[in-house]
Amino acid sequence: MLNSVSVAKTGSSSIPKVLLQAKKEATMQASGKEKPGTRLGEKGPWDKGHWANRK
Amino acid sequence: MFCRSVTTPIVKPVNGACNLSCSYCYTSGLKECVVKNRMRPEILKTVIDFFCSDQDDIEFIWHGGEPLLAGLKFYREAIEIQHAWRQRGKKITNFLQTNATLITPEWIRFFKENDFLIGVSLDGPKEFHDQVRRYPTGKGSYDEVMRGIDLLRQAEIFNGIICSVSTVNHGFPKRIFNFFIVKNIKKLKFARVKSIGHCDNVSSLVISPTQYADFMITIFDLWLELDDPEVEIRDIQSVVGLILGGNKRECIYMGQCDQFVTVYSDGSIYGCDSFPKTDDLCFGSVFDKPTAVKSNSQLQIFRELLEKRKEFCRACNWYFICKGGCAKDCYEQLDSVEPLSKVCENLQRYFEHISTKIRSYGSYLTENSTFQRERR
Repeated sequence: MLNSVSVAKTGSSSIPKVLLQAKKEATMQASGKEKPGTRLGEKGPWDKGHWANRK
Repeated sequence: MFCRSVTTPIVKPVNGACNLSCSYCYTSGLKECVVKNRMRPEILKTVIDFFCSDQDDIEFIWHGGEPLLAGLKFYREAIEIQHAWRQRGKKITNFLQTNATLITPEWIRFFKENDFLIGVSLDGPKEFHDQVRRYPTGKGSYDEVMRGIDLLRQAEIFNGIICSVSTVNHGFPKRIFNFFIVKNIKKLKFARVKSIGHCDNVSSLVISPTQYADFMITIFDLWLELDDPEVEIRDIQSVVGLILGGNKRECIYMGQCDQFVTVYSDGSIYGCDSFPKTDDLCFGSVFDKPTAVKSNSQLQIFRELLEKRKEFCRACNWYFICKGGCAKDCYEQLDSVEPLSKVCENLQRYFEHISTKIRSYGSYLTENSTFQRERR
């Protein structure tokens, strides 16, 4: 079951994809551009400037 | 300048009424009658008109208790009322946070037709979830929740999970993370169970800021190790994004707690739901004019308090992320200006852990970032 988080890296110095994507999104946010090709169903609190729906 | 106060309503059409009786829920001690507490149609119309009248982009967060107990007819009426505002050019988005046990194909059709964004509460694997998220009979709700999630997923309107972190599950971050990944649930939010409201036994479930930071640090490490860009963990994504120069913030890092208000079934307007029906945060009612609510004296006091808190925190290296933090989580009392040192220490530890990891990959990621600017 725990194998799902064990992934082979191409090299220890390579930058994780999640950080590269976060950098890209941060740059877009800073420039005021919307993530391209985002469908409404993919939006939701995760694509909003706030995520308030706690429970 | 545009005033952001009282712009995002967390609407409780049945107040705290729920078909479940979760151990940590601040409303679980209240025996509310759904029929008696359901928001009446004329109040619903006034709620929608109130929030649509003076803004162009409105987000309604339908919340509970269990908001599906209001019934389909209620939400059909809401859509009809919103339609008139949409025709006048208003952009309206509906979010709904549910326990998913009452979802039927009919609900699914409605949500899909009307672009509702649905979040579900699930506390991890069955053995954790069923300990705390139960029916009044004591039976766990896991099987019904997963059935609801499957329906939402088939219709492609499943919008992620909020997982409450308590003494029951905080010691098992890897097991919880793997559970969600294996179940292909990739949009996650973790929330520390708070000691609020009316629940008698919640203190036995509340974890300390240290325990929560430990949990989130492990989750961050697992997220980084898995390295799957489809996995979105709201808090982590917010912190990482801010360090890298972005500006999307989870509400706890906005420093704008006055933006979010709770609207109860009688139309009364209170502060954020983390302070359920707190007299000092009663800002009026949807039957008042928006200008009257926005100039309400209690709201002014709250706004001034938020500013004082931000001023107090401004010298901190991590102010650019937390902006004074959650008005509930970070402070001893509602009128405290100085944040709780234990909360700050652990938030700083969490931010430091993430930024150290990011910096370990070299300067490419932090070029032109907030992190770099803050240190010049």
